[in-house]
Amino acid sequence: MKEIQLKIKQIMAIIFDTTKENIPDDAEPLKIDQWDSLNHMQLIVALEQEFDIKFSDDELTELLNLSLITAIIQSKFTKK
Amino acid sequence: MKNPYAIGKTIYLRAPEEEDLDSEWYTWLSDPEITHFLADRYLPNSKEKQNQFYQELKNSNTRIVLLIIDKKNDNLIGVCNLGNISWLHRKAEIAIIIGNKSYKQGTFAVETISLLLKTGFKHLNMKNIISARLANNDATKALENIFGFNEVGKFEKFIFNDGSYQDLIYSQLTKEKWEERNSN
Repeated sequence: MKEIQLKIKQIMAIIFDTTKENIPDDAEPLKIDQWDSLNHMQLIVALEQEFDIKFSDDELTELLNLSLITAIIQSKFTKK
Repeated sequence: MKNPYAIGKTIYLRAPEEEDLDSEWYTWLSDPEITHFLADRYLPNSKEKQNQFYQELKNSNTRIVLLIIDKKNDNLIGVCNLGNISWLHRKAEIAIIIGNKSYKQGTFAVETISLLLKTGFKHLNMKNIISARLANNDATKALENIFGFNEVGKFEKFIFNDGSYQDLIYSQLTKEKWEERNSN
């Protein structure tokens, strides 16, 4: 779980143009200025590419913060 | 929630009502920051014009316009629609505007498109949903990518936008592909 979260933080840092140290464990759009609508979409595209996964529409609507994103990606690997 | 038509995790979609004409809805369609990528929204809007649009909408069977509402507080976030509907060919064109600038953070556009696609394919039995965007509209391009739209063609140098002619790009999502994406 920690490894996945770290990788997500690295991807977020690139998309949000910051460092991974600036992405807290409880990161969510309202806590990070750069997490706007467009960057959220670019984040999803990057996560799908980096983890080689596809989110269903229902999963897409659950990607509301870092901890939910981590849990959903983790669950996809558990199912594989 | 008031008269919800489609319900998501953080938002719901509902039909506009007469009282919404008094909201900020009509001002979005004059705001250059919001209309920047909208090919048909280059003239100023007004409450009167919005009322005219609303009256036409009430009698339309080829366009379904839905307001995007925050479930927490019933705040108006934006507007979306399935337009150019053909009930014979079972196709519609998708569009979205996040007009309320305090909702520019995060996940609302993605959730809206998810709800609108589910409404189109599952509730209204559409076979194809089409997206049209200007070539320089990165947000819509990302949405099309996320939801599995396939780019199918373009009109070159077709839409005058911000001083130059832009390609108008069409993408398609079939019901089969949407079902396949959401089968697991």
